[in-house]
Amino acid sequence: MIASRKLGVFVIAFAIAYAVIYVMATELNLALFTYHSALGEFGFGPNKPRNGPAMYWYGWIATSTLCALVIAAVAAYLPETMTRRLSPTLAWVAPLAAIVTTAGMMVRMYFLR
Amino acid sequence: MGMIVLLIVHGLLAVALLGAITHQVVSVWWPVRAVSGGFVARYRSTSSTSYVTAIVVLYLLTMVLGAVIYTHYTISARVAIIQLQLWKPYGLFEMKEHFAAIGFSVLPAYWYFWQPHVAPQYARVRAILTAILAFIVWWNFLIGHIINDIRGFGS
Repeated sequence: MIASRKLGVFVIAFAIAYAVIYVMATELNLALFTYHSALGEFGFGPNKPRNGPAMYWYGWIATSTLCALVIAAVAAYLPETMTRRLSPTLAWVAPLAAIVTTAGMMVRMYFLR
Repeated sequence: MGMIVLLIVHGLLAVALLGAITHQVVSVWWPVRAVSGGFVARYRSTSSTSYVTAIVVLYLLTMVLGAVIYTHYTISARVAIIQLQLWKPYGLFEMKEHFAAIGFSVLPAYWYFWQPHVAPQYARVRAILTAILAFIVWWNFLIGHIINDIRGFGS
């Protein structure tokens, strides 16, 4: 039962933290690494393009996953009194807000230019 | 040639994922009250729980293959799209990229809330998480096709 409660807190916290960090990572370019697809090379952190496009998407996912894993793991081990207010509703509200936010950013950048 | 094979496998996995998530979302949001013999009623009366692990695995496999193909896309199709200034399709694909990444974050909660031990009071959370995943899968499937077929438009 305790393991189930911890797992529940973990998955909710992961969904919230990942959604928030992913949007921040895309807006502020907080890529953990960059892939230079024309060269087949990786660079640590957000690099400038080298002889071709620089791909940050993998780095944004890595940043969001690692940070969200740490936050969710910490949340799972917090006392129940502190995590009681972590509503399961947030497990879908946060990703939905991230979807709307990123879609809005793309509309602004590519549809209203 | 290798990328074409990967693209076809990616497409086939996406079809399987699309079928599974659509089946599940229909059975969750439009359940049958009484089983009858019709095709639609049988489609709606499927056991939603049995799809969960398959959907998670298919989502991850499709995403990983898509991520591999994406490297080739950036140095081939993307260049042509930018040169042709097709900003709307370009933006649609950027949304696909972001939605796929956000859908990845939904998977643990989706899997957890479909477990039999989770209280029935969370049925609405389960249903909405399923609907979000279904939206992402449908969006990515359709936009993937549009981008893949872009040279056919108007030619």
